[in-house]
Amino acid sequence: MRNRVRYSLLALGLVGSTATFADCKDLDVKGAWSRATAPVVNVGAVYFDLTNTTSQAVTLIGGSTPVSDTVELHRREMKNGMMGMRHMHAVKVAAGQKLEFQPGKYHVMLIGLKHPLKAEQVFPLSLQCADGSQRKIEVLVHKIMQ
Amino acid sequence: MYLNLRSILILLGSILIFIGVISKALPASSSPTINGMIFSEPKMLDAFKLKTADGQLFTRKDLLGHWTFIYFGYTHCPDACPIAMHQLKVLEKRLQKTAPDQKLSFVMVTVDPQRDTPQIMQQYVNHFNPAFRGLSGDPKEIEAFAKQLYVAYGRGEENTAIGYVMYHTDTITIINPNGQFVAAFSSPHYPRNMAQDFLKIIKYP
Repeated sequence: MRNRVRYSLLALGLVGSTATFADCKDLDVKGAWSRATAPVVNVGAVYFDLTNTTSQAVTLIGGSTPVSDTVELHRREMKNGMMGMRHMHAVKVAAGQKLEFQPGKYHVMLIGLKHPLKAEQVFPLSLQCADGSQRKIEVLVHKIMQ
Repeated sequence: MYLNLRSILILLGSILIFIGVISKALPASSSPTINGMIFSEPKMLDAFKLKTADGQLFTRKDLLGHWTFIYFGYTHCPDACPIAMHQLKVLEKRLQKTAPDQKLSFVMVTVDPQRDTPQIMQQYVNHFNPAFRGLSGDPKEIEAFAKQLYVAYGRGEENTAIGYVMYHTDTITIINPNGQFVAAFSSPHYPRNMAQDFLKIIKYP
C-alpha cells in the first residue's frame, strides 16, 4: 500500500513535470524581427532563433497577433526547380533543438495585415503550441528587408 | 612487355577521350563565369504584351536602349520576393557607382495576375524604388513571356489563409539594350556578386 502511494506520487510528479517542462512559454526565442511592408501587401513574415531549452519536445502549431487576422507557420521549399512555401500545420521541436526561423527557411506568416508594418514598430506575437500553451514575444520591424 | 605496352596505349586512349569529353562539356574559354547562366549568343525575344499601372502596354520596344533586370514574383509572397526586390534595389545603387555609363531598368512581373493588378504591382515596387516598373497582364501573355526567359511557375497548395501560394523560378533575367535575353542570375541574389557579374556580362561577348 505504501509502495502504491509512492508510485502514484511518482506518477503524479512525472505528469506534473511533463506539463511544466514542455510548456511553450519556456521556449528560448531571440531576435524576433519582421520587415516593413508596402501598403498594398497584406502578408508579412516574422523571423527569430528558437531553441527548445526544455527537456521535452514541443509542437508549434501557429499563433496570433493584433497586427494580422491570421498567423501561420510556413517553410520555404523547392519543387521541380521552383521556389515556394508550405504551410506547416505542426512544427515539432525536439528537446535541445534549435530551429531557425530565417529568410529562406521557416517563417511565421502574418496573413491579413490590418495596417502596413512600419520600420521601428514593435508588435506582440503569441506563438501557440499543440498543448495549448503560448510563448509571447515582441517583434521589431526593420526597414532593411533582408 | 606486351601487356605493359597495351596498358599504356589504353591509358593514353582513355586520357584523349576524357579530354575530348571535358572540352565539349565546358563552355568556350572566353565565356565568363557568373552565378547563373550566360548565353554565348544573345537570344531574340518573341513579341509579348504586358500591362503597366497607367493602362499602357509594355512590349519589346520597352526593353530597348537600356539594360533590363526582370524578376518574376507576386505580392502575396512575404519571404523570397521582398528579399529579391530589396537586393535589386541595392544592386541598382551599387551599379550607379560601378557602371555609371550604363542605362538600367528594373522590372517585376507578377506570376499571380489573378490577384496582382498592374496597379498593385506598381505600388508594390514603389516600396523599393519608385523608378522600378511593376507589371501584370493577361495570364497567357505572362506565361508565354516567362517561358521565353526560362521562368516557370505554378499554383501551390490552397490550405492556407492566403488562399493559395505560388511556386516560381527564383532567377533574375538580364536583357541587353537591344532587347535580347543575355543572362540570368540564380539565387541567392547577393547584390555585390550580381554587380560583379553584371560587369562581366556587359563586356561579353
